[in-house]
Amino acid sequence: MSMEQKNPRTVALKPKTRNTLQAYMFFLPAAAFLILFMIWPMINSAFYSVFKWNLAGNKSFVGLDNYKFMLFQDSSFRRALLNTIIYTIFNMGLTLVLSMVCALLFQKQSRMSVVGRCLVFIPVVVPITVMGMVWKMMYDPQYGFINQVLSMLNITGPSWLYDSNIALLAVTIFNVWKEYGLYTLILIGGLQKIPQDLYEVADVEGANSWQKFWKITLPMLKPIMYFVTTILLINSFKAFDHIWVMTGGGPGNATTTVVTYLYAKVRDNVGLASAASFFLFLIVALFTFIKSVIGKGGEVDE
Amino acid sequence: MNNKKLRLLPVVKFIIVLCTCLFSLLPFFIMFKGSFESYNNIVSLQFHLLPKNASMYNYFDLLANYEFLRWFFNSVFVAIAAIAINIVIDVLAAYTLARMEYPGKKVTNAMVLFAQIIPVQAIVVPLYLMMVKWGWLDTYKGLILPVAVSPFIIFFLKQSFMQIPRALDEAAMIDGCGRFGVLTQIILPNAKSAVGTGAILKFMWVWGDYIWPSLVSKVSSMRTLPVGIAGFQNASGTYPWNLVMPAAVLAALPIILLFIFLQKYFVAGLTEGAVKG
Repeated sequence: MSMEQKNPRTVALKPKTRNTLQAYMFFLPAAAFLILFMIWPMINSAFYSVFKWNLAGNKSFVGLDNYKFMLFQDSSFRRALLNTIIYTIFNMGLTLVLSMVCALLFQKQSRMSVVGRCLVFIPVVVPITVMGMVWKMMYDPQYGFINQVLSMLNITGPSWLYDSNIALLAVTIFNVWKEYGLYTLILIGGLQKIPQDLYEVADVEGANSWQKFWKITLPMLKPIMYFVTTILLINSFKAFDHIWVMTGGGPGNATTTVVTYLYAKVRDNVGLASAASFFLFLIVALFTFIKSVIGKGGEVDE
Repeated sequence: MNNKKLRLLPVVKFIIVLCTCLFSLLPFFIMFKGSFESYNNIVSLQFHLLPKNASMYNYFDLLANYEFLRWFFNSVFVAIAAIAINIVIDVLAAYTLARMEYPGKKVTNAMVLFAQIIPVQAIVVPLYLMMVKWGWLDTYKGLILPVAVSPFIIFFLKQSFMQIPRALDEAAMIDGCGRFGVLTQIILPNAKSAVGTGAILKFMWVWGDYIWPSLVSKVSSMRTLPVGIAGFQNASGTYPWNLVMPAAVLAALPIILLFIFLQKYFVAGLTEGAVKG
C-alpha cells in the first residue's frame, strides 16, 4: 500500500532536523493554548495576589498582606476554609460508604447489576447546577418533596438550606447523590481485579461473607481506595457550582467555601480573590503530589 | 456451598438495589413532574406524587417568552466548537508526545502534566481579567477558546496512542507515509474509541460548565443553558419553578440520551479520568 507518492525533496533538510521541526509544529498549537489559558493565568494569580487591586484600576503592591488578611483576619475566609474541610470530610465519608455498598451489590455480571450500574451513573453525567436547582426545590421546608415525605411519617423536617446548621450537610448530600455513581464504577473496576481463587480458598476454610470482606476484599482494594480518597479530597476542595446555585454561600456564611469566596470577590477585590485562588492551587497541587506518590508505591504496573 | 440461612439474602439485596436506584432516579422524576405543573401546584403544601392538572403550558411559555432557545443554541454551538478544536489540537499534541523524539520533549511532557494539576476554579479570576482586557466578554471566542484545549484529553489520547504497535508506523513509513500520514492512516483508525471518549467527555464538561460561562457572559443572549437557567433566580434567592423545571428537563435530556447510546465511552472516560487525571 503506498499512500502517498514519493515527493521529490525540494528542501534539503537532514531527516532529524525535519523531524524535530515537524514535532514542534504539531505541538505548537497545544502549547500556545495551554500557556495562554492555563499556565499564564496560574502565574498571574500568584502575581496579582500580592497587590491590593479593584477592577476600577487602583493597584498597589502590598506583599503578603492579602494572605495575612485572609488567613488571620477575615473571618469569612476562615469560615470558608472550615466549611470546605467539613464538606470534604462528610463528602468523602458518605461517598465512600455508599459507593462501596453499591460496588459490592453491582459487582457480579448480571442483568440487575448492569441496569443498576447504568442508573447510578445517570446523575454523574447531568449538569450539576441544573440538578442542584431541582434539589433546592426538593429541600424546601414547606413544599419540598423531602419534608413532605417526612411529615407523612410524622417527622418535622429541618429547614435544610435555610438552616445555617444543616445547609452545609444538605449541599453535601446533594453532591454525594451526584457523584457516587462514578466512584461505584471505579470501585467495581478494582473489585474485578481481585483474583477469585482467594475467595475460593476462604470458602474452603469456611469463612463467612463478612470475614471475606474484611480479610480479602478490603485489603486487596487498598490501592484503589487510596486513589478514590485522594480524588474525593481534590474534588471536594473545588466544590462550587451546586453550592452557588443552591445557597449562594449562605445563609450567612454557612456554606461559603474557598471557591465561592473567591468567586464572590472577582469584581471588587482582585488581589484577595487571587490570593484565595493561589491558595486553592497549592492545596490541590499538594494532594495531587500525594496521589502520585501513593500511585507509584501502591500500584502494580499494568 | 450456599448456606440455607442465606436464602433471605437475595431478597434483602434486591431491596437495597431498588432503594439505591430509586435514590438516583427520584430527583429526575420530581423534575419531570414539576415541569408539567403550574407554579401554584408545584409549591402546593399537599403531597402529590403525580402532577396535578398536567399540561405542556410551561414548555410553551419557556420557549415562547424567554431566551431559552438562544441559550440552547449557545450551549450546542460552544460545545461543538470546543470539541472540534480540542480534537485537532489534542490529537496532534498527543501524537507528538507518544511517537516523536525531539529536543525539549521533557518540557512539553511536563507542560501537559502541570496544566493537568491546575484547577479551573483557581484560574478564573486572572482569566476573567484577561477577557475584560481583550474585550472578549459576551463573545463566543471568550466562551470557547479558554476551554478549547484539555491537558487531560492530551494525556488520555497519548496513553491510548502508545498502545498501538510501533511496527505499524514503521511499515507505513517504508511504504512512503510521512509523519502526518502515519497519524491519519495508522494512529487515528486504531484509536477511534479513545478519540470518541475524549469528544464525549469534552461535550459533557462544556455542557455542564457553570463557573466559566457565568463569568464571561453578562448579557442574557450570550448565556449557556446552566447559566441561563440559574439566572431565573430572582433577587430574593427564589426560583420560578414553573420555568426552571421544564428548562432543567430540556438541559438534562440531551446528555442523558447521549449517555444511554454511548454508555461505554462515558464510563471509560470518566473512570479513567478520575483515576489517572
